[in-house]
Amino acid sequence: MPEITVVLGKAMVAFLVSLLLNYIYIAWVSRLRAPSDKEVLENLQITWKAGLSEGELYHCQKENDKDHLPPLPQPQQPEKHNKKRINLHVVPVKTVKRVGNRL
Amino acid sequence: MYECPNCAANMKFHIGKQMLFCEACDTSMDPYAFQKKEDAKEMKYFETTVFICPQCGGELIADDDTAATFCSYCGGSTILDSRISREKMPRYIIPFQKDKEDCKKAYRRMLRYAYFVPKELKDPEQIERFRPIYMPFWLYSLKYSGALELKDPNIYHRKERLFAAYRGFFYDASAAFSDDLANGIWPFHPEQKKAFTPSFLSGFYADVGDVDKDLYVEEARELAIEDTLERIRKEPHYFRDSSTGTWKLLPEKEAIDFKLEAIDRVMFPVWFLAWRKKDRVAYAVVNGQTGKIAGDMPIDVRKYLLSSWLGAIPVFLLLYSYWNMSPGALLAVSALLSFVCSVVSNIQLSYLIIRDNREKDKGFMSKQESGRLVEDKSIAYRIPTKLLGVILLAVSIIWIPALAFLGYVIDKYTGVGDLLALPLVLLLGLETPAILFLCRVSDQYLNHRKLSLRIRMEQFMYGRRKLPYLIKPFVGIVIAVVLLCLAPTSEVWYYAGAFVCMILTGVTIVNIIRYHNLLTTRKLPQLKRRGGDENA
Repeated sequence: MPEITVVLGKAMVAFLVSLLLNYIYIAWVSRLRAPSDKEVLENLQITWKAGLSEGELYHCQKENDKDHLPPLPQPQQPEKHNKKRINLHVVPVKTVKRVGNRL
Repeated sequence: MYECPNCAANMKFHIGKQMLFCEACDTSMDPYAFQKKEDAKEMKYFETTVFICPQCGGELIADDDTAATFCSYCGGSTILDSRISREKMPRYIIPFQKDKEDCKKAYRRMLRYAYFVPKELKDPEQIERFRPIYMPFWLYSLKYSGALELKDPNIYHRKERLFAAYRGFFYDASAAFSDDLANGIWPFHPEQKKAFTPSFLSGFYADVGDVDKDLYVEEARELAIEDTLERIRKEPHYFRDSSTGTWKLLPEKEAIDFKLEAIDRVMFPVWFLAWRKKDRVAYAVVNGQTGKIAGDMPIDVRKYLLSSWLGAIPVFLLLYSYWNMSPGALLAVSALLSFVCSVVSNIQLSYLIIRDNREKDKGFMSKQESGRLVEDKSIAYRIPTKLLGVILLAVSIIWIPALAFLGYVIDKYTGVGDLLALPLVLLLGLETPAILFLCRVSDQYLNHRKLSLRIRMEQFMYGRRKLPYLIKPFVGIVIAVVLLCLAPTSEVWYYAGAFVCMILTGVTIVNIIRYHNLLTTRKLPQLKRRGGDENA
């Protein structure tokens, strides 16, 4: 086949690739996006409070497994802080100088 | 009408001052302090309602959802009191905080990279036509307070107390306002709302809404329950790590019964810009509180073709320099392009058709008796969306090497066709209808709905709307398959097949652009008075 056919073939492939890429770009630019559930939740005013310390853990009432129940796990204890030790590290960060006459 | 106490001119709400303002004598007043004397009187004539302008006596014709408008004769701002008194009175309002100049800036910013839109959309006169409208929304608050039993089905259970409140869900309450446009300018910030008084409407259009108040309650409740479960899962006290001794406690989903704390009617500020072409209209909308913009973007076909020609130049230079093209390879590449075109077109057409039919617009669908979807919660064979996505992906991944292997085996034992081209073409020829079929199936199940026979038929008809566009690249692929299987000795066949295939693909793309233009504009008459007609 003459050279012109090869050139024409490549030109058409190039044009089609460009048409497709152009269209994909347009579809992407013009798409209207709905907010995700996460975004909706972030925009809400949420108050959420569970009674962590009031609850008690029970074994389920399983007749057949009564003898094989594992011990109840202990709830995680809140971390204890040594207040005195913390206080030792408290240093003044700002010194305020008073200006004016002392009465 | 809000008559100025000093000069009797029409007072309007001023966005910059956040006060009622008289442009004639510069008087400002607190919106809550103003007591108006009278406004447009309602008279029922046939199917429309005619109001009499208190300023000039002219007739104002308004549809059933209009709450505030302007007189066509004198331009006076008029509030239709009968529409916002009684049961349709909003409880809250977010006053406009962005003015027209802000809208124009946002609009220009949006169009900065949209080189393909018709030049009329960028015309300064067109941009000047932004209209401020208060759109109605439903604002929900949900609350759960009470005992909560957390269970591990094997070993433990635990009783707790939970208080959870989710306030600020809002949903579009106007069937005319498309949900995709409303989503495009999301979010509003309801915490900045103010108690409603009609003075805020002076100088603006307003709708009162027509969507049932309970329509979105379930959607909000589902979201609140999911979030509550997620929080419990993250709580180490309830949900211990498996490495330190497994005990996983979760409540039953049904046990978290969120109650409605409040449903309030609110008005949110939206700027509208309409561009009408024949019987279709394209909108740009701007959030009047945050300035966020969204809009329909039609395509100028000439600009699209020109930019594609320009983009083709570097691609051509690359191909010319580095690709030693054989006739068989050209045919295979043209078939590959047809395949990509059919997949992209199918995805885009599904999106556009769903958008045009407003299938996902709950407010609109609730008002369309003929198009109402029948939900059946007892459906046993629901396929979760994520699972469906994974199945589709897995099928696609397995499909490709399986077909390639099949092509290789056929080629080896029969000696038909080119060694590399045949598997490729088999892949293209068989996967296209497979993907089209899977897309059709996924359309059916994505909404988790069992549909009536009538709706199924309608969906089938939507599927048929795609056919004229998708058949051409498919024909191109079939031609390539046949030629590569027959493996003619003359190169002319390969070139002729490749050109036919590429021409069919090119025509398909241009047709889809035209279809895109049709469907990125909207049907009249929704919101046509906002500037779809030029006298608004």
